[in-house]
Amino acid sequence: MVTHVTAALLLSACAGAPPEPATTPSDPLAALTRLSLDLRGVRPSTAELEAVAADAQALDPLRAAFFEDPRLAEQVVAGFAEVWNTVRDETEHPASALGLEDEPGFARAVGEEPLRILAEVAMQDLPWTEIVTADWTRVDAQLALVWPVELLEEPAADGWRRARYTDGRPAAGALVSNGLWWRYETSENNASRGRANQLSRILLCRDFTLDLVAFDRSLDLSDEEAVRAALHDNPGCAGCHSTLDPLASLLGGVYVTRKSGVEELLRYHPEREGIWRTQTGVPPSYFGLPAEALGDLGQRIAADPNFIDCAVQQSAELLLRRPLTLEDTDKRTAWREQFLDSGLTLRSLWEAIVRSEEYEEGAKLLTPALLSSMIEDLTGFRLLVDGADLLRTSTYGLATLAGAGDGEFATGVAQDWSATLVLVQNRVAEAAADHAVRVEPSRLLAVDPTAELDYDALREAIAALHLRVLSRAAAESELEALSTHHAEVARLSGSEAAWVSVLTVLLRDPELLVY
Amino acid sequence: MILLLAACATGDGAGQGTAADSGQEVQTPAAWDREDDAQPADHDLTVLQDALRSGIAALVVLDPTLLFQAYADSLGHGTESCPGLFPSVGVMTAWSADCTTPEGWGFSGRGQAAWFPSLTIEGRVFAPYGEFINSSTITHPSGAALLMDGSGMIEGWSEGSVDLLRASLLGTFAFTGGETEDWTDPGWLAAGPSVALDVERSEEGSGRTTSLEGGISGAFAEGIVAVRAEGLAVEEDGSCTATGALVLVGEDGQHYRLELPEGCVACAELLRADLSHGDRALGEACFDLSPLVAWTERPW
Amino acid sequence: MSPSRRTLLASLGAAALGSTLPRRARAATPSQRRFLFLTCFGGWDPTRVIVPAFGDEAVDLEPDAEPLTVGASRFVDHPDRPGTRSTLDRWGHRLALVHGFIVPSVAHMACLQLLRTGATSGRPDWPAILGSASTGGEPLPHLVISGPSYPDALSPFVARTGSGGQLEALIDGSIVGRTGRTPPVVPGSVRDLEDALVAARRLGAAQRAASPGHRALLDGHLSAEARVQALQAAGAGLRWSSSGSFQDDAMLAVELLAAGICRCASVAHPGLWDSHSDNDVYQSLLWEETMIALGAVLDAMHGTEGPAGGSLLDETVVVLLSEMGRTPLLNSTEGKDHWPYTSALLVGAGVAEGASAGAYDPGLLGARVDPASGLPDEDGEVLTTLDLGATLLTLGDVDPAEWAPTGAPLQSLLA
Repeated sequence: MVTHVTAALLLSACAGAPPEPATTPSDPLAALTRLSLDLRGVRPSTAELEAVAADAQALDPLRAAFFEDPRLAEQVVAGFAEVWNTVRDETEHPASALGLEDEPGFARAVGEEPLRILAEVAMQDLPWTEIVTADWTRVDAQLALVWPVELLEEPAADGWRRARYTDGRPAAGALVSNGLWWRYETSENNASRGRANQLSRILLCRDFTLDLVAFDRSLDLSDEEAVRAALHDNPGCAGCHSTLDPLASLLGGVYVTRKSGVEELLRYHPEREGIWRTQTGVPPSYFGLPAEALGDLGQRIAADPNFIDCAVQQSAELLLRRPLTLEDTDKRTAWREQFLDSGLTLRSLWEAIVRSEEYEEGAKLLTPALLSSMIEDLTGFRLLVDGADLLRTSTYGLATLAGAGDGEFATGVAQDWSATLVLVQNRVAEAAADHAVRVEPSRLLAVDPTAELDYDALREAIAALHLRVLSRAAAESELEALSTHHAEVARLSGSEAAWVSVLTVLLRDPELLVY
Repeated sequence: MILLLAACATGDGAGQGTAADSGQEVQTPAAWDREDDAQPADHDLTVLQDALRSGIAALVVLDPTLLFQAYADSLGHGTESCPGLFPSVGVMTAWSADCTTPEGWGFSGRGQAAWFPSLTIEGRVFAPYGEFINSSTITHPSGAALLMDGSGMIEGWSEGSVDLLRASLLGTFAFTGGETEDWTDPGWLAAGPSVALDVERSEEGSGRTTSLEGGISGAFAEGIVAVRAEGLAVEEDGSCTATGALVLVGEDGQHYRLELPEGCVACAELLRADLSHGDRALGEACFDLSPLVAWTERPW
Repeated sequence: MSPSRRTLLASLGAAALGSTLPRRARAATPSQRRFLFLTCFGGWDPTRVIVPAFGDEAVDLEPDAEPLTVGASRFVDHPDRPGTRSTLDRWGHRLALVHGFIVPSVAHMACLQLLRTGATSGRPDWPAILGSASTGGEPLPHLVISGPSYPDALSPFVARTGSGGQLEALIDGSIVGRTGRTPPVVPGSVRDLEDALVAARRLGAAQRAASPGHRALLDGHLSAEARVQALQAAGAGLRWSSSGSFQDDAMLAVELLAAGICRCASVAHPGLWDSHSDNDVYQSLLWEETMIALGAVLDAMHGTEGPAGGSLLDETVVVLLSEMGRTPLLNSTEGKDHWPYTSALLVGAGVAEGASAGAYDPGLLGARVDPASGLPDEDGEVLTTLDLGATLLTLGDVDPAEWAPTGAPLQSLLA
């Protein structure tokens, strides 16, 4: 039998050997894995891997099936969460203020409300414009109790269902969702300008705050009246405010201040739609086009080509995990045209992107959210504290340490290894492996972890485990090394511990997070 | 050595097949041709007429002094420790608490307010004078409660022969639990409206004006949830004139607009606002705005 | 093994070992200097302590504020802030100040990013850059204890402790115990076998990498894993969590800097300095708390040996910042609004004692200055966050040309 030391020598000798020709970007198992993770949040099943390994053509129908998988909705939610930044660990007003008990669940539901609208539009193949024109929202069980809505259907499998606000909100989809405005506050001084900028950033990919302000030294910035006039008269100010302020003027119906109590925050305020007269002082409009209130805003955005461009950009950057550059222009234009041709269905856009060379050739790290769903699917383990998934929360969780943004100071997901990501992976690997072997052994193992196996059976079981966990067959050297490892640990601590250890090694493998 | 090198052989997996480019020609980007979205249905004209009537009535009875007085009265039942007022900053008193007095008055939230039937500031007499920024619920021993979540101000003063009032309210205000012996008459607060309203009134001799900008949310008729005044000015000086516009808002976001002709008691075309298809006329609605200037006792 | 990997592992290993060897006293070179960034988020009013705008009628000062001269510098003293006075009495002679630099935005987040990176997007912040350039082998080159961080492409060099002791729980494994499960007990011998096998597998994975991008990511794991090993070796017995107060966060940073865990540490005051109303009340409280904490930090650093053998204060640059100033005049609610000109405070290694750069024109407008001398110069320019950044990078032996190309190091601040 090859000893552990010899196995290590084998692998280290491989390191010195001339590198194998890199597998082509179209490695079907790698492509399958990437699609499965991006579209379903889980790794491919053994059956799926074997099917594609036997025939690469099997990838196409599987891709199509992934786009029909209900778990795609969760990926839409998680992906656009990085753009909308509405999901936080806590809300300004706790659940208890509304008579609810599940604090983390309430906070998550509030933040996800606009994203669930996006997911519904995507999964129902509605035109993407519906996200700003829909006359419905989506609520879960907690929101259904406290939001001023009428319920339109029974809950879906994800616990969410369509509902309609009954407090005078126009048909403007996510633009009038409580979840959006609980996240982005305003004040009397700010007069909804910050909110208007967030809408512009999220829906039009135009962030006014990225522009540097050219302060005119002749302007007395401490004179409130002078500043107010300068917003429209001074070129250094008017460049942004001439479009930002009329946008802000459209948001009167959702105006509440950060000092407001929860009752104010629950309802739309149609009586405030004209409040621009005492706030911005500028009549509402949409980049010079007439608009009166939020309902009009939704229609204007829906008709704006920049809205479509932005959706293409955001989707591509989510799936490619890198910013688009000038070199992507042709491809971006093609995706845009396919998006239009499809009737603005998000699934068609995403399909166009994932069929591209750019998608196939990319390399990226799992997000903490994907790590969570993948580990749970593989092992049944979740890192839950008081109902909160530590890989999906930042304040007291691990999401930011594992590379996620926190929606406040850190936006975007890191695409590099950090020490804390390694620590997170290692600790999750240990705990998940322990759970998988000792609590739910049949989930991953085809054998009894406490049983002594002969050499061939052991290798076969390890090979199956390797395929399932890392989505590729183990090389002979790897199989040998893992088998030797199993034997060594079994000698020290018993068979069950040996399986825990083998699975730990696989879950600690950096390949697990690189796809 | 042979064994070592053999062991270096990688597995297979170098599959083939790429996602080919679609081969489409790149077209000039085009806007999305939206089909007309279905609009929420119009309300019946009769319903709109009722809403107009009740909406105007709500604007008429909305007297900010009721709110200020109710709040000031409640503080009179507080104690040193509940709610425990902070040292005054200027004319404002402030508190932040969640407590109940021995008498049973409850103070929850925070309040920062001033209320004076008459106050002289830098030689100028304001009667009344009030301002507040609150997010508070004050509870009477009987269980009746005053909710104040927002801000407001009120000033009355005179310039020569003209007596003026300026007031604004922004927030949600409600009085629940019915009348109490030692507190306020609920008045318009019983409806618990959300308000965003600026009011200016003046009186000179027999002449009166009322200007309103903003609105109130509430239940005004079936499916109508708000009434707004835009540049509304009602003037009575022997005859009553009105300018500006009134807007009704439906529960599904419908907007109905009435541009006022000159008379206070008149009828005008009611328009349904529709950005996509263009505004359309629904018929005439009639109104009477004269109560806005018809006070016998000056409302401040 | 590639040379870069060998060098990295050697340097990390040396750092881990270095913490146990007796030190000779030696001054820190610029490349050895450490940095402590203290951020006051929301926009401070510097006229409370570090901008003595007495005599400027266009500035509303506090009632009862008085000028205070310490060494070559002037400050603001107030009877409500005895702790500030105490800190200034002890350390005022060493504080260096940058005045009147412009942060060209009025939005908090944009200003914060401009302050720390010199741009509104797409650049890493000064501590991430300094951390990435470290040759000291610290396992966590830039450690964020609280507040903002903009790692951009330098995220491998940045770590957070977490506001709930998450890093500590990851290091000691107790994170799993928080779920109610018993953390798995892995014998050391088994863990060693696992480590070796994971390392071997990583080598194989890099061989099989489908693209340069894949290979780069796998190489990144190697570097990160090495940092983890160095961290676990160096971090034993260290405190990793604080009470969450500004002072305790800052003291935690001091301890971890002294232990050689990081080259840069970032801490943010937990309060919101955005005093649009009652400016005098809020700013006084916040400044007092901050200056007391600064004094405690400087005291502690002075009495603590640094990794290079000198006092930690002689090896560290302490930077106190806020993303914006406040309007010179009070508004209608006794508050002050956003102001694009602000000041910063530096003290410590390589910082000229009692120096200043920049100035304010009447009404708290940033004055045009000569960057070299820091003195007002009509032909000069208003200082920017890039000048501040260039100065910090120069103090840390990083060429500012790459990261702050249009910034000029403020020579008057450099000892």
